[in-house]
Amino acid sequence: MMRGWLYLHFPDLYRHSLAQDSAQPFAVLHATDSRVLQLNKAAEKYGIARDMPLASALYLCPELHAHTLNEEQQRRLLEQRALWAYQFSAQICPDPTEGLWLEAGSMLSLFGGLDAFWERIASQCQQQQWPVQMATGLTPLAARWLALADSGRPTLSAAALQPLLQSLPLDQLQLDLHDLAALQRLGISTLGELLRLPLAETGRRISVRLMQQLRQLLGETPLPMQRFQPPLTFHADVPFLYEVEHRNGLLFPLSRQLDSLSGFLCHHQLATRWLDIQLVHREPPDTHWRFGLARPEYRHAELVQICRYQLEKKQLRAPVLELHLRCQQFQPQVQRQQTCLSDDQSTPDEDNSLLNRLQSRLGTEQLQRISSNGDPRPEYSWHPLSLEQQSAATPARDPRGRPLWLLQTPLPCSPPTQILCGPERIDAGWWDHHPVRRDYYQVLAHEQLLWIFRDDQGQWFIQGYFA
Amino acid sequence: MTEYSELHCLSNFSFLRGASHPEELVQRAAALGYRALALTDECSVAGVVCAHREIEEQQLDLQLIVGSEFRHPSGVYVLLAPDRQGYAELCTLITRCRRAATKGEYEFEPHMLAALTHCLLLWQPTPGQAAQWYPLLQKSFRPPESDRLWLLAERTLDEYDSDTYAPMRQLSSELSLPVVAASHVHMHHPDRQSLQDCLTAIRLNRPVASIRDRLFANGERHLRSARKLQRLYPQAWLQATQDITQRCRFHLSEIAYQYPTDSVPEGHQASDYLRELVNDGISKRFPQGASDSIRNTIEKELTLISQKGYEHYFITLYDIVRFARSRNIMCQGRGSAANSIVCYCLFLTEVNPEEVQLLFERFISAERHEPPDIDIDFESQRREEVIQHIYQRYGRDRAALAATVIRYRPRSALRDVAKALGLNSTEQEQLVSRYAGRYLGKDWMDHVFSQKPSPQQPLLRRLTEDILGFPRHLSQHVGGFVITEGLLPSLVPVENASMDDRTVIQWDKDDLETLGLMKVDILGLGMMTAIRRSLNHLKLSMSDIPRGDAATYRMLQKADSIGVFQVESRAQMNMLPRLKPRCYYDLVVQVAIVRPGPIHGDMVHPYLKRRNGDEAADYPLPELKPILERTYGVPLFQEQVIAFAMVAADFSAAEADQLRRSMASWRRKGHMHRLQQRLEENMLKKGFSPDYIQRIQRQLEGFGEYGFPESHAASFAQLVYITAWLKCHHPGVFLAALLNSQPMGFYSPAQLIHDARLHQVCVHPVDINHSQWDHHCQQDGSVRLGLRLVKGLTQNSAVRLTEQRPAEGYQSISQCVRRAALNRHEREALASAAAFQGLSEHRYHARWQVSDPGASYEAQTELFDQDSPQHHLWPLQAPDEVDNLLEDYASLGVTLGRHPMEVLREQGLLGSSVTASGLRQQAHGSECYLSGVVTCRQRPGTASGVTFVTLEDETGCANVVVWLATAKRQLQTLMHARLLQVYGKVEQDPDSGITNVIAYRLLDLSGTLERLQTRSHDFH
Repeated sequence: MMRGWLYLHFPDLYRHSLAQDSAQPFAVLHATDSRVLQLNKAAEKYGIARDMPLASALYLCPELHAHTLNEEQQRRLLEQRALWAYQFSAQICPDPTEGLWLEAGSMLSLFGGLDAFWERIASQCQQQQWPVQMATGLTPLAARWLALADSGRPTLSAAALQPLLQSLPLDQLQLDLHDLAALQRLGISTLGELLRLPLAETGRRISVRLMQQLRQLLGETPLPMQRFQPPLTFHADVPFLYEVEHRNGLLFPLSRQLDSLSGFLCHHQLATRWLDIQLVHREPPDTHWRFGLARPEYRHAELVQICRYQLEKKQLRAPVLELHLRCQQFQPQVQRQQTCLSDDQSTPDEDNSLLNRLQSRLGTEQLQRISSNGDPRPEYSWHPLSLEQQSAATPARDPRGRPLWLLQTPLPCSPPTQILCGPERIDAGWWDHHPVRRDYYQVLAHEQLLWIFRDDQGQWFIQGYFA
Repeated sequence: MTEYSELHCLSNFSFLRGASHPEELVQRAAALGYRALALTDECSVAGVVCAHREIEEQQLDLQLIVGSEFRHPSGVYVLLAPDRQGYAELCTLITRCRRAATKGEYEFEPHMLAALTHCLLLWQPTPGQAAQWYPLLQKSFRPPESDRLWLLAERTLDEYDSDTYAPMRQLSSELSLPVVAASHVHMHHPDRQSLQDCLTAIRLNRPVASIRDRLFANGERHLRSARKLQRLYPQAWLQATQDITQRCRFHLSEIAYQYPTDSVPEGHQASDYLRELVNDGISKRFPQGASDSIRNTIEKELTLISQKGYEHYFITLYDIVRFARSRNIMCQGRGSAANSIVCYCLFLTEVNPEEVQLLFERFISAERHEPPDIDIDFESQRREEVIQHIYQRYGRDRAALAATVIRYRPRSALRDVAKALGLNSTEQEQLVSRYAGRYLGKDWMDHVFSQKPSPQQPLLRRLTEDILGFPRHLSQHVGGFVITEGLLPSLVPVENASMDDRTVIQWDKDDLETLGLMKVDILGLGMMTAIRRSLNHLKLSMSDIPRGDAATYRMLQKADSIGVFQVESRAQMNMLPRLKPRCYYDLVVQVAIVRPGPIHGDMVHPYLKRRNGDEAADYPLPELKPILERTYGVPLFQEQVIAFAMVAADFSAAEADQLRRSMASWRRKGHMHRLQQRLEENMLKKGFSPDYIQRIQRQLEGFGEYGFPESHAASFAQLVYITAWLKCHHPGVFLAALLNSQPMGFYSPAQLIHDARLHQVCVHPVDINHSQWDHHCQQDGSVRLGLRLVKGLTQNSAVRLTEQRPAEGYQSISQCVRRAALNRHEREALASAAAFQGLSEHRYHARWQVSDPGASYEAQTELFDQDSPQHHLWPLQAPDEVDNLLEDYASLGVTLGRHPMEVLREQGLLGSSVTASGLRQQAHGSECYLSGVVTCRQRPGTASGVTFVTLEDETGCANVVVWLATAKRQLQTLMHARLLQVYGKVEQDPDSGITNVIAYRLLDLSGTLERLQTRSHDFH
């Protein structure tokens, strides 16, 4: 069997995945230091170049659209390409951030030869409108380097590949910058010139790293590569003997599927927050339901209970022939901490159950948390958060002299007669265009302790009540 | 109603806390009718002189009390200085706290207050801490004779009141302490609250919205009206402010300055000693004897000096200069001091009164109440020795550097305010980039904020406007020293500077001037180093150089002045062929004329016309003839303009001088000083045309910022002549000296070498068998480049290399490496610099050989001996011409090969471009292409958006003029190209022979010679 690798290099993968107007100058920025990583032709016209700091780029082109690279997103993009590439090879190794290795040797008979293999892939990429640079090589690194320099040819013959490799310019191979500089100072600019020198001497003089790379190129040492693992999914399908006409009839088969799911989750030490349910009817379209949980869950009983609550709110539009349960998004299980000193009455699991059930019953929007933020203006000093949101709140201010009950909107009232405490002057909010200028007082009226204020126009209002 | 004084007030010198300038605070306090304002910045008195100056200048009816705030977990401590001793105590305490911490911080402990026996203390204890700390304070501040302690009560109508106001009554009766009211002022007007919040955000490096809990809930910390204060505080507490005010009698003008007396020998009187020194100087300076008029002037000067009590000042300076000369450190006074013959006799300055007319009143006058101000240039490479001498002689307790206040400029203001308002880093960059580096004038804010209006813009703009000019921190001044007789810390606090071993006072040069303290500027001038090196080599002294050498002046007239002091810039080179200097005084004019003053005032062309005989000199008033005669009736120098004001507008000498000094702030303040108004009126009355008056005024404006007094121009003209003479007659020596004195001057080493070679100086490359560390001029006038040019080679290693070099030279690379004990990095540097020329095939080979880390200098390895058989195995290609050129630039910054333009031209890559020398043959008005390496880009403020570019090729330099419209169209090419091709129109000036090309189109050629590393002098 032939040995061989195919490398697909997707230049500027991230940039191409973003939908933008190509006439607009556009650049993708490094996540931390804001230098230009990728740019389009319109931006190049202004003289912007890779690695340029943002400030220089904006100087040259004030209307530049800049987008900061999201590394997670980039990883996912590559993952999608890897999944797509599965049709062409059983062994895919992603090369973060912009490339894929496909094991080609064993695939050639399947595709009818290297030319056909190459052609298939090239045309698929074209259809998808993915810019790609392809190359084959006897070692993974050879394939990669040829692809980076866009010197690939559909051949796996050593005789044909040799001259291609020899003429590769070193500055296109994404070598370490120090190594590249050192090579330039020796007048070595092509791979061929570099390979003429004994490896060991090169390693001593330039770097061990470079020597390693050359060894990998020649196949003397293997290139460490991560084999792509497609993401985990769970699915359970149940066809029914009889049509199910009422939603309650779904519960029993669903419960069995959830049992399998729970086992799957336990086995992988995972939990989930999303259940995808697909109902097949006699006539299309199928019904798709997505049950979301406030907190990740893995226990069978809880999952059943959630589904029960959620089902109560659903209607079947037609009798159901098949029930498919899918689960594709997972989170690691939170380890339960068992401490004998813990005097917490409830465990995290119980808390999660409560939240999940409340949310299923009431709906996601009805469940909120309160967070305080230290704003000097009473009505802005707290805000609701959904269960999802992290509280990025700032610490609250000193609560001295503040009542527990605050009115939603202040109530106009007459000027006070018995002032106990005050004035406390609040003059803030210039930053979000909701300035507040008020003098607050604690007053006694009708045997009640009130918190009232006088505003800029001299009007009096009640803001809250002391318990 | 009782009068009120605010006793706890922070200005913006409490960096990133206070939101108003000291000037604004005193203005507002006076307007509110306060009796006094205590400026109590945090562990600092940096702002008090500004406040003092504002009160004096505007004649405000407000007493200024000097104090400082100290924060500690146990509470807030506000100290006030009631008298001179109290002030000294305060400054000493501040010094102690600041010196104990890193720059910008301070360490304060309440027990430090025990040493204070005069200061008043306003104390605001943290709740619960009063009992613990009171005994300590009672001992120090409440001895039987004088009660100097108050509780500080502040009511700011927010949550802090329960700590700073409510407990005070109780505490007062418990400890039987009086209470005084204050407002913890952070700003002069509540409008500044948003800015104050921004400052908090900037201080915490977070956006305002994310630190809302750290903001003050209201804007009460401002100077409040008397009526409001009456409602807020008990009468007794308000009255206490007056009790304190009356006890404070200290006024900053009391800091009577005493110059150090160290240098006067025992048993001598200062004035006698000074006269002795001057007499000694006369015999040295005027060996033929001094003329009567000179002697009379000296007498006048000495009398005035004695009258004013300035003897010690001169004697102290004499001592410093004497030290420098004893170490053969070149130095020369500059500025208005050169107007003094006494200074000339003391060898402080070099301007000979026999050659230039001096105006002593410009330097010191009877009416002015400020000490003299002498700046001295020392050769830059040895300036540090002089500085160390001063520290040693006077001690760090009596000598320190003045501060420079680093303030918010447009770029930093935009960035910090944008960050505070929550813009992310990309948005911040977008905002800043609308300002940075663009062709923007005074209305830059309109430009920056005009695009894409957003709801936040008005806020952004207002806050940026407010914060501009706010102090951010103190930095050390380059060479401005203050030297005192008494101990410094009792005069002004001293803090740590960021450089090790350096301390800085809290006041800047303007403050020192306002208070009349002795300041001397120890400046460094690179050209002096070059001159001294040249003279050393030639074994000459300054006085040995023949004056009036015709060849030297001829050279200057052709604008052949690269490397010559002061006249090597593009603008100067354009003036030389027009002015055609023939004598020393012409050089004095040359130095002064290419500056904003005369240019702004449109005096340049009239002067040139008259000098060339195209126009007759005329004098608007006959009394002006003696002043203006030497410049053909055109006022060019500061002294002339001042004398002009005196004669033409009836100003007294003091007024004329004040006029001169107000010129500097004219532009900054944006309004005319009343004296400028008077000038206009008086001159109109005398019959001057409004047009002429405007020109005089514009000239005054220009002088304000870059004024050259005639004496100063005269000092510099000395150096111009000497360096020109050296370049003319000893170009090799001069080149070596210039290169050894880098960094300095206008041109890079590559440009200096290129110019010298065009003048037939032979330059030899760096070679381990011939080079020294320094560049060296040989017997035959050729120059051998020094090892110092090799990037990455240390001086120690280079010295070892030369010392270990055998008489017949190194015979192999390994021998050299072994003997000189060079590390790998240095070996590679030498190899790439082709320093091993002759010992290896080519530099790539040499580098390959020496890169082997296994070959240590100790081992006797044959690994890279010349004769080793293995050496022939290395298959490395030899560098071609372009490779060599690029390697030269990378390793040395200089090439001795062909100029890159010559290479490109030969390869046909420059199209039909003419050469720089060929440009002179082009007809006026014709169009052509011109290509070259960009060696200078300049956008002088005086020339309406024009950019001047200098292109260098193998034949010399050419000037290109790029108008604003072209620049805007091709901004990125203009700003970034290293190699530029220009298509444009040729302009020839028949009189001066100056040729320019007006650019129509620009083309960036940098890519043609990749990685070319040249350095262009960019001035904006």
